[in-house]
Amino acid sequence: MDFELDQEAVALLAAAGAVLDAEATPDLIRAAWPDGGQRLRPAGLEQVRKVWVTLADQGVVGALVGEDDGGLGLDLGHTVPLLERIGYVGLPVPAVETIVYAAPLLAAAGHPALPDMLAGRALVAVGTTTAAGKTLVPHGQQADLVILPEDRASPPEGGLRVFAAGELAWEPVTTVDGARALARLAGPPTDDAGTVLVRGPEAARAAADAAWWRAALGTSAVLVGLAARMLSITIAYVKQRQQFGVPVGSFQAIKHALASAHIAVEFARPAVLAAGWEQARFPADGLAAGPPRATQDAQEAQDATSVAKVLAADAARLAARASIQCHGAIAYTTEYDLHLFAKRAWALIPAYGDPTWHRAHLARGLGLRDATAGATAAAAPQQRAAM
Amino acid sequence: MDLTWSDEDEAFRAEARAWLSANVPAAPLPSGDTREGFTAHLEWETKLFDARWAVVSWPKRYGGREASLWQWLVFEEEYARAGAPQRVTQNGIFLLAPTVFEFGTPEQQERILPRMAAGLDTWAQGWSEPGAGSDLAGLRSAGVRDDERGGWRLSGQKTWTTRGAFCTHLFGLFRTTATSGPGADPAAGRHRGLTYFLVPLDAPGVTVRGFDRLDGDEGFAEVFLDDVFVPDENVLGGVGKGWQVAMATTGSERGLTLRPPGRFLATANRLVELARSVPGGASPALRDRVVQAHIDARAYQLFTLHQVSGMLRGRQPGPASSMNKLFWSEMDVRIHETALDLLGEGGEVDGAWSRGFLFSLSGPIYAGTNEIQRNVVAERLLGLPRA
Ligand SMILES: Cc1cc2nc3c(=O)[nH]c(=O)nc-3n(C[C@H](O)[C@H](O)[C@H](O)COP(=O)(O)OP(=O)(O)OC[C@H]3O[C@@H](n4cnc5c(N)ncnc54)[C@H](O)[C@@H]3O)c2cc1C
Repeated sequence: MDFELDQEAVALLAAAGAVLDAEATPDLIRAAWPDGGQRLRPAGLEQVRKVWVTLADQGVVGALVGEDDGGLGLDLGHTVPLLERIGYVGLPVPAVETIVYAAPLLAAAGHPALPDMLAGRALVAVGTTTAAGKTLVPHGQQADLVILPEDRASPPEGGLRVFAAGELAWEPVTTVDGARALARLAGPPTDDAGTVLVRGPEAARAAADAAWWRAALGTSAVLVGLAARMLSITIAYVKQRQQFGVPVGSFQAIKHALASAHIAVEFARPAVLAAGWEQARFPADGLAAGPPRATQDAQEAQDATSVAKVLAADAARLAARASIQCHGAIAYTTEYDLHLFAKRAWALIPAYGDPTWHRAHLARGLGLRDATAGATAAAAPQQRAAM
Repeated sequence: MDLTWSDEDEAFRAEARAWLSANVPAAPLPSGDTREGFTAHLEWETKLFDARWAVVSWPKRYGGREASLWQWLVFEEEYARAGAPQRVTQNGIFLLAPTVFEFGTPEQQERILPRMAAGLDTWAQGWSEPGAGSDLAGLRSAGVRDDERGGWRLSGQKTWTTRGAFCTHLFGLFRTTATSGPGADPAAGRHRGLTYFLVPLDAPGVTVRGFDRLDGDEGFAEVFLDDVFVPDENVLGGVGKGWQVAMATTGSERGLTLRPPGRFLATANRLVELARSVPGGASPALRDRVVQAHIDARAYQLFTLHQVSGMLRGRQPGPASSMNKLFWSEMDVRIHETALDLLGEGGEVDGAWSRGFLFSLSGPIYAGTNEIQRNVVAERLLGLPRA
């Protein structure tokens, strides 16, 4: 038993952390926001890409890709502190999608775009289907490659495909967090579009499921980082803002609100680290033909991830709420930076399973029946959005 | 990072589990906060001690096993899992003993610890007074020097003394330097004029009056001291050093030692079983709360494991132990509230859940109220200014 970060995780964070701290400023996030006309600004996106390339030079994008394929050969657990820092600085790119969801898939498929991706020249977005049946692609307006997990049955032989952004018909969607660069798929991809990453419906489902769980974990790490950032902004503010002749941070109502939010964050962090470790040890893919023991371990890794996502999402929501309240009106403006992080958090709370979905998933594992739903709750990840 | 238990720890777990399953009384003992139940629990303590499970982390010569911190956590997990009796000796072995190990002379250690481990001496905590609760340093019970006999004469009143009516000894704080009046040393301040005393409750001049807690058990006592002589050998940590010594105890009380995670994992598991037994299944809202209990218990466990990893590398939790206390005490209330809601109208029946619920309400009060803990988190961890 030992909870100390591995050398690999520390080194990865050290390599990326310096770049992120120096380059990924609130101004960079603002550069990724649309102008008044709701169009993304090419110059802004270019600026963001430059930072991404610098990060890629540190090997970050290929963290989960084997060394033979040009990556660092690390495991998911090693990426948790890095992803938390990416959340902390609010880097406006599909980092979880590119590093965690897609890179291992492209590497396994020997996809020709892999070198570009590892060099930071190709960002990958991942689509999701809403309750209303629309396919939304966060960062779709910004991405070079797009994976549509729910489309994988479409090609005649079945499979999981990756598309060049230009192959898809999409329209921009205005979002609360302007840096989400959200796109809506205007129509299904044609049968001959894209390249196949995983062949066959069964294997495609298993690969997409595994990628989904990795991304759920990655998103949890980002949420912890966002929550921690909001609190650090708020703590600095309440120390210097004076009312009634004293810093507002000396008022107990402020102290207690921030203490509660801080605890939520501090209790989410070890759970996210643990889930990363569990997933690295028991990856959910490649278990189709595995022995029962392995299946049970994979279930444990998923459950650990659900625990992490609930804690991280709830912590981020609480941190956003407390941070805005403890600021007063200054937080209720887009001129002040806090909103850049709060809006990202609100967008990510429902991503890769909202807390309700993950609680239902855990309920099933605990053998808890739902009085209304009958036997069990929680469908497979892919039906998540439709629930 | 490695979140598996070593073979050695697993062997330790197996041994503990086997012994507990063979020895834990089948029917629950009467409450240890009643006179009759206290005696029954002391018999259990003797059994634990004889099998060397009473103080697993202590040196062998005092009846321990020199178990590591990890193994101690494992033991506590197994103990709670087995539904073993409450530890009526806990305020001695978990609160006083760590202080004796740290501040006691070798003579004191030899005199106090073996008898404590064996359950021959039972210790009550004498800190709070009618006028000094959260503001502990405002206590007024005082010691007067008796040079002739080589000791101190203590007078005053302690209250809320847990199991004080049944224990043999008291560890308490007394003022030994007046802050005002003749012979006062105002410079000593409220915190510096205190001394930590070990008082036999059968000493002449001691009167103990037991009284009922919320659950109707005589678990509280008032302790009146009227010119009680205590020899110098019963001063712990030096005259005037009481505050420092006491603060070392609060670290244990708030953090790990008083409430290890196994306890809440076991309670959360029992809650899941209760929910499973509800005919037709729990409502979705209740089911979510049951799942949240599971998530919280797991979060507390992971936070603790993380913390212990740090401790083994020399990083003491310090004020972070206030986060433990806030988390477990509030989780415990939520778990019990959920249980009562699952029981519905049956919840008022006297039983483990209704008793547990009443007791859970004291968690946010004892060991420093949660308002005080939030002040500690805000001021000492977040650096917010004092009022
Ligand atoms: C079950 C139980 C067992 C106990 N066992 C023992 C024992 O064995 N030995 C012992 O010495 N004591 C024991 N205590 C007493 C316990 O330590 C005190 O209850 C506790 O320190 C609070 O003091 P108080 O009850 O006097 O409340 P008060 O200090 O009077 O507080 C009343 C309310 O005011 C709030 N408050 C006070 N100061 C502040 C502040 N600065 N900021 C914000 N809010 C504040 C408190 O949080 C609380 O809500 C026990 C208590 C309980 C409930």
